Amino acid sequence: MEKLKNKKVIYLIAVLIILIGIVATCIWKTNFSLQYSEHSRIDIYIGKEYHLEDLKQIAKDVFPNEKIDYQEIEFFHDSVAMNVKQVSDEQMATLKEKVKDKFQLEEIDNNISVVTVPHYRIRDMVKPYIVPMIITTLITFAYVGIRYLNLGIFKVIGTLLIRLIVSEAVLASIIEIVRIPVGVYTMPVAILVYLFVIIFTMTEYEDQSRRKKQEEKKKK
Amino acid sequence: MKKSKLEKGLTILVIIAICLISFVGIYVKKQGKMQNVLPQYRLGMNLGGARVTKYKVSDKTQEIVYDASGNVTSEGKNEDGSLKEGYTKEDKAINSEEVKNEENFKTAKRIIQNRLKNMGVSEYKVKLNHNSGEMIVEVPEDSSTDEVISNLTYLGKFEMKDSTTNEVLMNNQDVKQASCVYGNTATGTVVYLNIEFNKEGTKKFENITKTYISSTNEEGTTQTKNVSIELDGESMIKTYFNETISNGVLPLTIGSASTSSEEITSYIRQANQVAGLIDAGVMPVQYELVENNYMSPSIDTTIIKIIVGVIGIILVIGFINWIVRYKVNAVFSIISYLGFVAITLLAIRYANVVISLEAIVAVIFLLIASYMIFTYTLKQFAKKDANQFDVIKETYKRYASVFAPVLIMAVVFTFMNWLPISSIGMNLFWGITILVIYYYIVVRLLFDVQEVKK
Repeated sequence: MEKLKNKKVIYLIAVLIILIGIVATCIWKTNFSLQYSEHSRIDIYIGKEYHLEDLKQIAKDVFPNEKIDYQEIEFFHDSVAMNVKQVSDEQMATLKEKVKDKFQLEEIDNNISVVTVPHYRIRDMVKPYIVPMIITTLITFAYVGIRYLNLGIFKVIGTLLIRLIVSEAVLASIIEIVRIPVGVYTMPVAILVYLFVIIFTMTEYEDQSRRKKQEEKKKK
Repeated sequence: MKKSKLEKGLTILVIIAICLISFVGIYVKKQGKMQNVLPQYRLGMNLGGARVTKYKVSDKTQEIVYDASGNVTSEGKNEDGSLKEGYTKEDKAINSEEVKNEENFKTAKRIIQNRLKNMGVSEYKVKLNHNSGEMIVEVPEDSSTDEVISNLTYLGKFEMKDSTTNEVLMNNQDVKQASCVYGNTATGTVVYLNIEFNKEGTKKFENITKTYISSTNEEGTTQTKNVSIELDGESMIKTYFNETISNGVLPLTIGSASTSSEEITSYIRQANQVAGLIDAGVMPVQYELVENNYMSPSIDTTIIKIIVGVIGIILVIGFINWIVRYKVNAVFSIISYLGFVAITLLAIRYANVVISLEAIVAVIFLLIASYMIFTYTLKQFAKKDANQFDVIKETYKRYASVFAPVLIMAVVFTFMNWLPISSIGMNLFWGITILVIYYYIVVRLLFDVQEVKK
């Protein structure tokens, strides 16, 4: 009875989170990580070996309190790309000046260029996972139905399906509510949640099935 | 049954040696430098870097020459490049203003994605600027990267023309599917580009094979009518047909090789690339490559460090929990656990499994699964009536049921062409396989029921 009550509370909280998540999605746009959102990539050709720390210091002055991702261009350790949300003309001029001074470059205008990187769509991110996830889920349902036939085929599959949907919806809602940036870690986390729900449910079914078998044995 | 100290000691020594090899490496002096002789981990795009290319909508113009009646011609110029009398020329933009619209940019993006898929690129990102049409394409850096990149700028226009009049007899609209096939003949392996036509195309093609033939007239003169098969206006082959083809399949020989597997692979790659171009459709907008650089991964290493740190702390807490509750067998469990991680990492290196960031799913799962299994084993051994074989049997029985869906996922994911997904699958598959075998060996050799009973 106590367990049933707990389950109801958990489902109630989950539904509440999902509802808030839906509202949050309507109010705000999904927050994407820097690399997945539209941003500016500043390619800097220094022409000689550099220390990233020097560049980070310059970037800190030019783009205070902004998230910056660095990437090396090619293998010669003489060019670098700085990914920033956006760059103004003023910031660009300051950056050029500071890079020129720091690395004692004769020419700067041709050594720095800005590329606008378009945003990476959620559908492109999710699409490759749809088919394998559907296949995996269908085979899993078939397996669960057969393996735990004594617990009721529709009950076990139904419970697992609801748990999978609710858990993924809760994850998506939390991402929306807390404004966690959608990016490279989103899909792995979603799959981890999927796996945990399956393992948790399977462990529960395994124990239930065992108990039921023992009870049946006792009755006999 | 109590194990001898020698047996246990040797097992532990072997596990420690495996851990050292896997975590530290085997260093040998090569060309004056100490080098790890273990195979390097193969990293996916988001961990190992990618080729990042930028394509813009071409603003180039092309010169079009018209004859006196206003028809486009290719014969209106003298040898020195000047126009013949009566001919006129016009510089026309490759992409007219009408084609530069969002719908066409989206179509172009879809075609590029299809081409990458058809060419067997295991992982890619295509980002489109919906206003300017600019595209940033990221593909993994390997031996085929340059070919892949150069193929993305093609329009993908397939045409079969009358080689004399330049009349277009067939085009992409008549094609159902293009694919690479190869077969063995007496001389070796022949690689073909198979172009399969749709219903309408099959009829057209049948007529073409009846018309474009080599024939000898009554006077004994041989007359040959050729077709030119072109891709983006460049002729791939000029040929005629010896027999009527009514099955709607045009096999074009790409190359043949008797023994060289490298040559065959190269032909297969070429055929696949052309097939990929034809299959993906015609680009509505002509693009040009404006940037092409290798770029290191942009993953924030602090996040990875945090993840590793958190996993490390959780593991240490878990190990302390084992020691407090299960004493001696807990120490064996910790050694076995680390041994499992080490062997899995070695297997990943030697099996050439690609590690992508998404494979973190597999890593976390394997760490948790093996912890659950060893904890259950310890719990079973701690029971008064524990029997080694029963414990192993019971553990297998329980976790085979619980982890079966994960094995299903591992197998399904492994066969996917998308690298981040197959990486999860392969890492899971190797980890589970090793866990099953390793668990049996290590429990048999290390765990002792009698000691726990005391």
